[in-house]
Amino acid sequence: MQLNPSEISDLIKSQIEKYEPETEARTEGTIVSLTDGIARIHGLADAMSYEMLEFPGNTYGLALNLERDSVGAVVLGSYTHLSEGDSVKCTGRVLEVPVGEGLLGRVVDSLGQPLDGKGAIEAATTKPIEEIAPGVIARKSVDEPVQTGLKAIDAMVPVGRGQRELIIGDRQTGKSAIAIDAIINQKGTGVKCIYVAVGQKASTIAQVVRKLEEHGALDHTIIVAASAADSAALQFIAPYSGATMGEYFRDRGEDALIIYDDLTKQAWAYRQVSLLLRRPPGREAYPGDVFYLHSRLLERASRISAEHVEKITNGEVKGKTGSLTAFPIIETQGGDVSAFVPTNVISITDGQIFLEADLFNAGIRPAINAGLSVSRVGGAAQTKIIKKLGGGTRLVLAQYRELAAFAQFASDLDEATRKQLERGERVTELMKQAQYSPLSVAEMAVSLFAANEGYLDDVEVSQIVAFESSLHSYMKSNQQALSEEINAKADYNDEVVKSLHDAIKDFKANHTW
Amino acid sequence: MAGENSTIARPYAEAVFGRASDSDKLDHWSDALGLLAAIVQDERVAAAISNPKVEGDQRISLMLDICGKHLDAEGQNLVRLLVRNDRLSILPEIASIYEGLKNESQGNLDVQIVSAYKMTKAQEGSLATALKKRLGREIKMTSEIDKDLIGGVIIRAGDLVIDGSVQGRLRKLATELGI
Repeated sequence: MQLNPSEISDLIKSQIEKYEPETEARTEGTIVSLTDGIARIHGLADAMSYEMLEFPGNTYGLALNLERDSVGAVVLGSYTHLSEGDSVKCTGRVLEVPVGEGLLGRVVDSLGQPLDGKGAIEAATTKPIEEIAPGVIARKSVDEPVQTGLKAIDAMVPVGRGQRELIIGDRQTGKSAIAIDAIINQKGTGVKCIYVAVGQKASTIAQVVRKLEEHGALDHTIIVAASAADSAALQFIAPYSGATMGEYFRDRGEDALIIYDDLTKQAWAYRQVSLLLRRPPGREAYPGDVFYLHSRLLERASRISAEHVEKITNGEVKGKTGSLTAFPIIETQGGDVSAFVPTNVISITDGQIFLEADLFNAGIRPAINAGLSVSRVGGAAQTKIIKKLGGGTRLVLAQYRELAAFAQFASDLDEATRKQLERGERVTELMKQAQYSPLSVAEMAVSLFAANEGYLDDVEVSQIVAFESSLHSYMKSNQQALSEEINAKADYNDEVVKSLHDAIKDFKANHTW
Repeated sequence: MAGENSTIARPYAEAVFGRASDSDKLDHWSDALGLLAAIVQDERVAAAISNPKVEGDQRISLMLDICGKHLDAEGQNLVRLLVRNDRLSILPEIASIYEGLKNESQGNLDVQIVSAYKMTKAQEGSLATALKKRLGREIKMTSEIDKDLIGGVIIRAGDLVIDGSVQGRLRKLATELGI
């Protein structure tokens, strides 16, 4: 289509007519020193804590240190064009990011600016990045599950909507993989996902985006990326920006899932900013408020009552509770969970999924340590059938670990012990699951049922994985009605038990694996 | 750094101000501090007082000789104190903080007006009344001309800047359009 030249100038003309900048009265200060992205500004007597400051050249900063004669501010983004003596203005606003449905399927930076080249973001509104978490009255207890699609997690460490479940482990133990699988499994459930990448390689982030796209999971996901090349200030605020985007859905009576990948690097970025601001260092050189850094962030993940949703939406949304579930990720060094940041985040969250390098290398993936992983509130939210069938799994695995260590030295074992060892071996094998292949509730239920009822006892350990996948495809093609019923109701009763018995018996009798 | 210097200068300025208001010699001290600040900012004097070879007593006599009869006994005492604490170089900051305290106590405010063209007496008058009403203080105006503004005025009162210039509007338009 040919653009009509007068059309454009008319547009510009109307904009010129409308554009009427007000005479601005603002407090101004001067940059006294500028080092490593930290500007010390003289003047600005009216600056507020966490206020956005305007630097020359369309650059913004955050006022963090308010002193008697100067303000310590961190520049967001590049600071090479700034110099000593430049004037800095107060804006009277705190830092805000765009929020809304328009962000879904997009990759944005910590300030909500698009990074994916798909054009401008159509945001519903903008909201401050620092919000106080909902109070006691506004909350509702967690009683609905978030299905991660991973057997090991949904059976042993279930997560509820509004819960904060930490994923912790050394590097290369599959922490991000769990998070990505959880996002993929939210497809079609209405749960919106936010993936906050802090201090990661840009190539890793690109890979995550591509994987999500491949599995059709990008449409319900917002990616907030602050890569390793971005300034420490942007890395430090990225989780708060992501939380604000997630809160938008929570406050509209929807469910959202946010992944902070990872908070260790965010704490590093905050440590850098704090040290450059000359705040006194404490343990491991972190500043004194590093606990509050994470506690105020994770406290924003919550489930809120329908009344509260109705109140904040001014009656627009009625009878729907909202939730924001958080999966913070922490990377440990050499399995040391007693380092400063890991202990802090463990104590803040409602449980943790502990991943071990040894298990990972032994081929048990996801490499979840069943003994150390817990979920403090998820049990109340677990689906009925998985709760019933998965209840014993933890115990079997824990007993197996203990016995296996002991049995290494014993030459001949009694019948009961041998049985327990065999069961444990098979359950361990059954808990393995490939990446990017989340399971439905019915698939999980049939696998767990087979293990519980001893249908795996005569299957070779090395054949378990093949057996399971054949069983799943059998269920899909021959037992569609049963699968659908379990997925829809997730009920556990005599009828379901009988159908499951019949199905597995039929499979074992008439099919190969 | 300016920030650190004013932190050091503040107690001196407050002490001088306290002494001045006790003895009711606010203007007298204002002149004295202005003179001292001007002296230490002189290149030759600055070189002399920062030269480690020049000893304390020599510095005192140097300063007092230059001031001559313009400095009374209390002023001389201030110079001695500053030399003893090795703080002569912050005299300009002391003077400016002192002026700020003095203006505040008298309800005065220094306002700097930058305009593109020279303002008429009537314009200055109406601006002064408007500012007096807005800031709630007596104001002391100093004006300056800057052709780069193109039109309008910029008013600076302490940290507060009211930008009503064409240049400022153009800059805002540029930010809005993202160029």
